[in-house]
Amino acid sequence: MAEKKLGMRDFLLRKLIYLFITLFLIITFNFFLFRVMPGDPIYLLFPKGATPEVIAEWKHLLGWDQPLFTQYFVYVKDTFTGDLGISFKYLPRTPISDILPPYITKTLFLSGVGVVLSIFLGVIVGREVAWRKGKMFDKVVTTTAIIMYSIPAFLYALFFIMIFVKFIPGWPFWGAVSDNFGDMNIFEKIFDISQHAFLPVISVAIESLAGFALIVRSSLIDVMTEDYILTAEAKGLPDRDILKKHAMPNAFLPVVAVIAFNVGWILGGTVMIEYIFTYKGLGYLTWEAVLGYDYPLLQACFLLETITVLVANFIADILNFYLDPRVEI
Amino acid sequence: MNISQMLGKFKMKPLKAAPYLIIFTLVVAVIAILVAGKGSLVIPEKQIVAGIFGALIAALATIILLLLKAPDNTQKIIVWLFTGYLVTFFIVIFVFARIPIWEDYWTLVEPTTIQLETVFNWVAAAFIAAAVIFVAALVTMWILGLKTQEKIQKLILCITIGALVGALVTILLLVRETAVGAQESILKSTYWVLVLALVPIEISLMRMPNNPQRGILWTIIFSLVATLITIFGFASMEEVEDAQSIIFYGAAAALIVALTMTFIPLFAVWFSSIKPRFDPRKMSWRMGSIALVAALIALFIFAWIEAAPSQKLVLYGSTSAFIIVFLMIYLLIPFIELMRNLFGRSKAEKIELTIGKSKDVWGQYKHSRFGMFGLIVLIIVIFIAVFGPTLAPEDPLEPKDPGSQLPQPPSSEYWFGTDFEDKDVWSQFLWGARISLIVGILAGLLSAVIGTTVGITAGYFGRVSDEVLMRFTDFFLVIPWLPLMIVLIAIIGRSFWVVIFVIGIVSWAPTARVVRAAVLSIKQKQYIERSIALGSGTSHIVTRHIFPNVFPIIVATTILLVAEAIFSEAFLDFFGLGDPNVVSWGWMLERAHEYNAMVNWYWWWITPPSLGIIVLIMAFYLIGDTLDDILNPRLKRR
Repeated sequence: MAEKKLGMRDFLLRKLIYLFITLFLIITFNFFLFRVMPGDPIYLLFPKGATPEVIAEWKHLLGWDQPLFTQYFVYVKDTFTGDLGISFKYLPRTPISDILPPYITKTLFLSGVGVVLSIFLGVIVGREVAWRKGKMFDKVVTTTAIIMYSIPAFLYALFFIMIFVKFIPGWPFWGAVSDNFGDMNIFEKIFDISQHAFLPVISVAIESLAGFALIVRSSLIDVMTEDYILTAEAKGLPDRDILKKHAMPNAFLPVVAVIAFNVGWILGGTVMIEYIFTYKGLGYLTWEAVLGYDYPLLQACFLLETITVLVANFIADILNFYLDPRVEI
Repeated sequence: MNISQMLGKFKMKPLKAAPYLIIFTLVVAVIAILVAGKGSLVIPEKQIVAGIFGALIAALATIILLLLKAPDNTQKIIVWLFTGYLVTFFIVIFVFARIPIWEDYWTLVEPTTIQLETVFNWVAAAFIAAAVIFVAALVTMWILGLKTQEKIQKLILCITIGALVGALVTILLLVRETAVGAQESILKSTYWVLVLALVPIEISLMRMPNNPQRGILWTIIFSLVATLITIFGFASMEEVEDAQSIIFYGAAAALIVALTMTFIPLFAVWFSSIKPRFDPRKMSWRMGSIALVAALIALFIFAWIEAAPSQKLVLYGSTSAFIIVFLMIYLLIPFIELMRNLFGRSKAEKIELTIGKSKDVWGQYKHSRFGMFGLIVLIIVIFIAVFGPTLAPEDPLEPKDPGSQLPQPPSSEYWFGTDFEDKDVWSQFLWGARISLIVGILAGLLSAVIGTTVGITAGYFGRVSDEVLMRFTDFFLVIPWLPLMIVLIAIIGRSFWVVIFVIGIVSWAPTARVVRAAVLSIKQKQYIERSIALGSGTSHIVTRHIFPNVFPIIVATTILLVAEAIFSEAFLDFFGLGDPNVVSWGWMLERAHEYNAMVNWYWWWITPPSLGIIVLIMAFYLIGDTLDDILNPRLKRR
């Protein structure tokens, strides 16, 4: 491959093609994943003793009376046109694309706030720690971060629930809003949503926060040994300026790549957080679908989760390209 | 020449050796006491005696080890060896005859009347003990890299084989006399032997690069034979029940395994008339001794696990014991061989190393405080995993008070309190360590194998396979892993093996990427080109040049993967997608969550499994990170 620097347009085009290929692969995978089960999957959906008429009707409704490849093409076509099939158990006979929107909003809200919070705090903590490298503060915070990084998010959630129940009675940790949400005025609504989202968001953010802080720290420490930092010091620039204007921009590059890689992790994390807090997002819906053997719904949830990560990675790639002039391909 | 003069000639000064001797003795004494105690926390007299007995044997082994280092004076050494051997023999017989608890185990008849079987038991025990001593001494020597004269080695080999054969004959006689599942034991042992024998054969054949096709052919034939025997063997087998027969059956199996691992590679070489590059006798002998030690450890694990409290756990326990054995033998030997290949003294082929010798790695590793901490924690958890069920005071699944709906806080009776229905949390915690560890390690290994295969194929063959495999890898990198695991388990079903499989399948992509990158850089090296020019085949280059070079990277990555696999296992169990019949830390958390333990402030129920998971994950992260820093300083991830 020629070592020539690609322009933004070429880069975008290339990434888009890859995105499209991966998307196609995912849809194909998603289709066959639910068709490789031994036997006719329709019987998994029914309790024993369903009449043949009911089964035949559902088969027709789900399109499963067609040959496999016809089904596949129909599935690809439907997916691209936004038709995700119909729910089987959760809300019978309802188009899944009608069920999903509120769930998607909640998950995006939860993971979005979680990601932003963890990046923001992670960068700050990492920076402060790297700045005090080798001091007591650094040692204490780094050790804490390693411990925090080792703790799975769902344990945080359990821990928070325990503490809050004991010491702040009346704090809500089930659902996304209170029962009387409809009667509230706008401020009460905002407060209610934040109060309900507080623990889930913290639980989502805290593990990756520690991870990001560690990455920022090591990246900054690497950068701080570079010659141009020494030059800046020799010029007599204030320490804070060196940190902010010279060290941070360069230290940030590897961090972006890692964060992009971790978006999938964070999204996976929301699945368990939603389950614990009964926060009705995609993860919770996945859980419901698994419990109810609602395969069409499960398929749709999985597809959406995958696409979310895909898009997040895509954005991160572009951001990385924008920030780092050395990135190729 | 008196003893102090003789000691003076050793490389290791007696003063310096003393602490090791004492520590070794103490450790063995503690283990022996635990064995004898069978988990009860009050230690009666007889167990202390048993412990001292164990310690004595260990001390003797150490003394023999020291004597083996003595120079040139072969006659004297022979005398000493035989003296030690005889002393051990008599100690064993004496002690076994005296201690009631051992009589329970080792005699088949009333202790008061000495019959043929009793004698056989003692003899068998003595032989086994003697064999353990010599093999332990030899293996220690080998691990420490001590040099002994060849004559002595041969001598010890003869003694050991003699002891083994003696023990074998005794055991076979015993089995016949007592009709305790004789056929079954033999069949099961044979099965073990043949299955396990495959490993050294494969290795020995792998190490003979001139004729890989023939090697593969023989491997296939042997595995077919093993499969047939397994099928026929297990078809006609019933489970052997009582502890005694299990111990003997285990010992028999272990010894047969050891013998076979020593001889079958020889036969294989002779049969297939391959000219080995290395002396196959030496190699098979070494592997035989490793196998013996591994198998004996396995025997003890077997004996303990079969004594487990409840039926469900007995079944499960023996499965996991088998896994431990399997892991030990299947992994230990190839690993040691590979390590020797990489770091050993083999002059036939020096592989260019990307990293220093194993000693250097350890030298760097021990300076890392985090790394050492992780290692110590891991050792403690492994200890809990292996011995936990023995130490557990209660049956973790048996309700003490089925009507009770209120968990009890910690008390002197229940150290960590109880859960609903008054099941002992401390016992559950001890049992849980094993599953978390086994699932983590197996899943990590599975994903390492997949990742390595994909990475090497993509990196080495390049072009189309590279492009295709990398798109495939990207695809797996993109898919959110937790939902994918949930979906897969929802489709396949819930069981112990499915959890391992699913975690392994989902998490291999990062390894593949890292390995591919490493392979690409190694491929550029000149010696690969030279090797191709000299006419080496692809398989030779991949196994002899590429794989050894990427191996360190794989090790570091795999350990990090294990941490993630442990996390995934805990999560899946917590989500209710794990095997419902398996006690693990995630399972404990699931139950706690189900009974709203957080809301009701049953902290004693939640804390132990949570802490266990956190500490175990942290240990693997720390070890992996430290190794990563040492082994591939250029490839910084995370």
